[in-house]
Amino acid sequence: MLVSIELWARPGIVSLPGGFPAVIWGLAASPTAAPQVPGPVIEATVGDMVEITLHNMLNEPVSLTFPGQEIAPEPVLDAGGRLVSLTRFAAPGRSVVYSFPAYRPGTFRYESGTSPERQVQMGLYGALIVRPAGWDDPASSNYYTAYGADTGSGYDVEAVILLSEFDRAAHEVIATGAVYNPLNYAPQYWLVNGRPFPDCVAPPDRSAQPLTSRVPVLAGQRVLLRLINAGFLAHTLAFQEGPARVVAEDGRPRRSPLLDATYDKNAITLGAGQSADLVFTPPEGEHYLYDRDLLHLVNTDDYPGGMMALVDVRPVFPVTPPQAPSNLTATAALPGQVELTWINNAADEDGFVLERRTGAGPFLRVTTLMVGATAYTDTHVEANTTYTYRVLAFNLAGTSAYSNEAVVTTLP
Amino acid sequence: MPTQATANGSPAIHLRAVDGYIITPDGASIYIWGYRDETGRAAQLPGPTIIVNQGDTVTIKLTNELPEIVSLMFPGQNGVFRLTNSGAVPVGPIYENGRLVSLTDYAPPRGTVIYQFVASRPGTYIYHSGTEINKQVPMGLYGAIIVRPAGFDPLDPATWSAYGPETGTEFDREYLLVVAEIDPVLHEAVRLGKPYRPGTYRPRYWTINGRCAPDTMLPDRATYLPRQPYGSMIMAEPGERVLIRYIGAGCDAHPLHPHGNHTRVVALDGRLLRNGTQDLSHKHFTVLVGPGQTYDQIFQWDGPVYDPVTTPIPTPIPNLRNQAIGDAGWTMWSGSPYLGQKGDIPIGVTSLNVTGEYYFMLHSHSEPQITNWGEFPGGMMTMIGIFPAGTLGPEVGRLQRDSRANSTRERR
Amino acid sequence: MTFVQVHYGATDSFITMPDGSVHYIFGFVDLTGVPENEIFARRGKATLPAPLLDVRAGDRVELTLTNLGMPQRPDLDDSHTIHWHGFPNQISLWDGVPETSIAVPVGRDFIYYYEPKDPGTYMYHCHFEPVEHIQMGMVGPLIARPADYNPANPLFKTAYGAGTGTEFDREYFLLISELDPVAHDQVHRVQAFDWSEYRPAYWLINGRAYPDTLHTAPDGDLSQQPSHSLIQANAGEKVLLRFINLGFEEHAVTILGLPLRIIGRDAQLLRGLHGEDLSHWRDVLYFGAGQTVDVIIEPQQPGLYPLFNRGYHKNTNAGATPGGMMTHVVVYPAGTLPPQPGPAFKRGAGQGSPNQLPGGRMHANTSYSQRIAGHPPARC
Repeated sequence: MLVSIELWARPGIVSLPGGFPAVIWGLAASPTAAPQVPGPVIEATVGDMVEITLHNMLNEPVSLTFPGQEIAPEPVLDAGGRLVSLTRFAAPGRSVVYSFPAYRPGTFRYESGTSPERQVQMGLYGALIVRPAGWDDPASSNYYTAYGADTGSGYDVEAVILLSEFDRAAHEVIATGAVYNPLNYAPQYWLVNGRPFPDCVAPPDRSAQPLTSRVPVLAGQRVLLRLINAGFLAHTLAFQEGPARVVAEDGRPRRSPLLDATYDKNAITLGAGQSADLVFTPPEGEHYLYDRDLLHLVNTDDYPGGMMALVDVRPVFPVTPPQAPSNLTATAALPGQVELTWINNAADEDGFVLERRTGAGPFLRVTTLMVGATAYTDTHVEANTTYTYRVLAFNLAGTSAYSNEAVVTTLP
Repeated sequence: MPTQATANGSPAIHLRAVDGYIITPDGASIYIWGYRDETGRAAQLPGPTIIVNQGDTVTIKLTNELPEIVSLMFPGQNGVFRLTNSGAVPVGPIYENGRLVSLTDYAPPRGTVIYQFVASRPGTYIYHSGTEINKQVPMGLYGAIIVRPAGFDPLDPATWSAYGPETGTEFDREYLLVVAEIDPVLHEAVRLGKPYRPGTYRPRYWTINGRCAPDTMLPDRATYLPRQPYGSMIMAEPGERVLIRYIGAGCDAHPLHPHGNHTRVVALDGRLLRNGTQDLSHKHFTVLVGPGQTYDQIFQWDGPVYDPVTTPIPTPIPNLRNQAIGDAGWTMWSGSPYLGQKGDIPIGVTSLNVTGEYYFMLHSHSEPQITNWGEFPGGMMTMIGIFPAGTLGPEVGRLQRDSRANSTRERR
Repeated sequence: MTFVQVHYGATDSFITMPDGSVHYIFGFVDLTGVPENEIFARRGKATLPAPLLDVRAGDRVELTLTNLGMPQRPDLDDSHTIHWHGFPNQISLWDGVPETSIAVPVGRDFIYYYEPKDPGTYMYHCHFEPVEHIQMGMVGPLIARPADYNPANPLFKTAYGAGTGTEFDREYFLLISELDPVAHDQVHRVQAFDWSEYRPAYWLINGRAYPDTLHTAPDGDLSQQPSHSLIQANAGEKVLLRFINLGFEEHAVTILGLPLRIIGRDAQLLRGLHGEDLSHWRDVLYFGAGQTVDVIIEPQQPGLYPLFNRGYHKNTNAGATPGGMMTHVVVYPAGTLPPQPGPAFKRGAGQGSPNQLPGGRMHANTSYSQRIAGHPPARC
């Protein structure tokens, strides 16, 4: 079967914790959709032919590489024989097509191959999942396995956990077209599926960071985590309730008919670009996965934040979204901050997403709050500025409507 | 109450989270937060080593004498409960006002919390704070847990193994090396109650068992290092099987390289590298010790035994004036290439060699880590001493739960 | 069994980066076979990396180290040593750790002796004030071949011995490291450097940054960096890549389009206690300082495959891109390249032959260590 995917590389805006906008170069699944970080998850089944058309709506050449796939890199060299691009690229305004057979199952990534020290940092990366033939056929021994029968990779629930970093200063330099010095690379944000904690546990949405890192699991279910490190640095993901069994690395199962080389890890280090598939059956409760380089558990300098994901194991899932919060009030009683309060009308919410806009700008997420929150102090505000706030409640069944909007002008 | 528990198989441990100071060889005194047991008067680094038996129901009471909430996490232990007046409840993340305040149940300042779990599997584990972990763990709130396999009898060497009989983990002596790094700016900021920017993290000291070289080579419980009770000098005789347990307690990876011979890594994160009869252990000359991870290894020095009469060293040894020995005024060289013999040392050089033993360095190969704030020698370095057969007493290389050395004092 | 004698000198020199910057280094220079009256003239001619030491299990190896001193730093009276990193069951005399045995003062010689038993990829370096001397360049690759190694017989042209599944057609070593120009400059100017401030600006393969890694011609500005890392092979061949990390950082190395079969680590065939075959495939090799990894690639299609650091910010020369820890794997149609001469490496200099391109002339060099049958000569 032909899996034909079109991706548009375009500039977009993400919301960093505190409600700060930052320019990204993301990939969109349609010319009108928001470009997203990471890009859309590309899914295929062994035997498929994958054909990806990349439309370049940026001001510089862009390409995509597919590490681990059977596709010749076809790098582009300059007259001196130096690499200009790791693979064929699309000039601005043009398109390029890549195709390869999905010849083996696995957890992979795709990313820009042109000036990757800039473009991958800007957001041009995503997950590529190839499933074994028969994975969705209950009659197949490959049913709900990551790597086929007898590889120890059977699962009930799967989740992609894609790690990356975000250097806001680099984005500012690169977005303006200024010369970027990779020696200055120093990320301030540490992302899972494009969002840092706590925003990563909010539900999926239609923003430029559409993916959640909350993994809903029913008690007793076996979970497959597809870990991908798309960052430039190594990351160690620690399990609050481990260990988990490593069944594959870089899309290659650790178990064959001759040898079972799967192994348990309570924390696993992935070098830049590596992937691993882990399975475990967590008990009921909330279990965080967190970067064991504990300095990555911040957003700039604010703890808690950064590279965390949540495995959320429950006996049952809610079936209806929570009631919307109401009576949102915003008060600027002190310089440099806004006091927000609201009434929680839900009994079954998992948390709240607080958004604001500056003047008539777009609403951006300020933060995500956990169950029971009815107040927040926004300390990341400019003086003499008018902000409009709104809040919604969410649970695993979905999101509520927004509350009323509350307008406030900050003190000098 | 658990602290009153006395039955064998139900060890009750009382840890206090307190502050204190450690000493570095360059004369610095560094403020730490750490755990202490009933015998200590201030925080120790690392916290008391907890040694229990497989199957024990382990009860740990934490009393918090620090100014903010503190907790204990037990990565790799499953089914951890908090004991309350109304029974045992599973531990889990704690939210207040919609904010994640602790990854696990905590003790408020001047308060206590009691944890309980069954040590169901033998192995090497870490414990550390689960609260403000980007600060509290680097400040020193970490320690080791060793779970003895069923059948382990400290009085019967025939039962000594890390993971039980027939697991390839039998040993004659054992050592525990908990490695971490220190950014003194963080410690000073905490001491003064000033803010610290995690993005500026830059370690200046690298520790094994809380000590920087050359203090690492001092004995356990050296009186001049009252808050750093555990040495890391490894001593063995030729042919002996030495179990070396590494724990990565810091935030960075540390490539630990023993001279003398490879080590065979037999377990990771407290899990034996075996699947049924299939053995996944492997020999390394450098083990990259990742944060939050543990590595159990068997080291064995079985080198050639030269004898000045029957099998002399096959190369000429230059006379003393053609050698550099003890540039810093000391050496661990015996003056003789023959094990068990001593030879000439230049006048004015102190030989720390005892009986003609061989010393082999064990150190981080990320060499800036073997400095104390940039000055070599220092940091994450110790020695392996290979002593002539029959010269080491049975007390060398013992991790015992009831002696003062390398142990925690438990109420019984 | 062969008696191998090699002679290295410890001294200094300068290396060049692709941006034209020149950096002071310490290092080793090959003195094997150099007449006594010419040895002093090799001062200031250290190479990065140091000469390849290529020996065989069962050999008896005598390595003489002469401390030639540093012409650029006449004030510096540092001793030097050779540490064969990873040598199993070493005794302290030949372990090269000054604190636990002896070091070699300026102007003096010392003989290290080894009887390698375990084949694999090792490294050697000076262990005197190692943070300084390793960063300054006193680092070299070290290969121990299996006792049954025979490059003329494909079954015995292996990394770990016949029957271990480690046959190869071609081989390359890739010694990777970093360069902090501030540290090198401070050492050159007799200034202290705070090693906890280590922050590299160049990332190197065999002492060179991209695109110099591709430069197969000897001499020129790269006279003290003799080892290119342009990897060339015919389609269908097995190519052994011996990775050695003598930097201070962990690195994530990848070849776009070519999976890596990890066959050995730290000079040990990847086998479990009972012989379980633990070799495996990866797309990205992640390894730390002081580790070696043996990788076999099996390119099937002609083409150019970029090898680079997946930590993309390291593929730079002091900020300029492309640069740093990159090279090319060039695969030709089957039969294009003549066989790699065996043994593969030119003693004391670069690897491969600079003229392996189609139609190129092969170097006739087949000597990889000065091998002398019989017993060591008497010494006074």
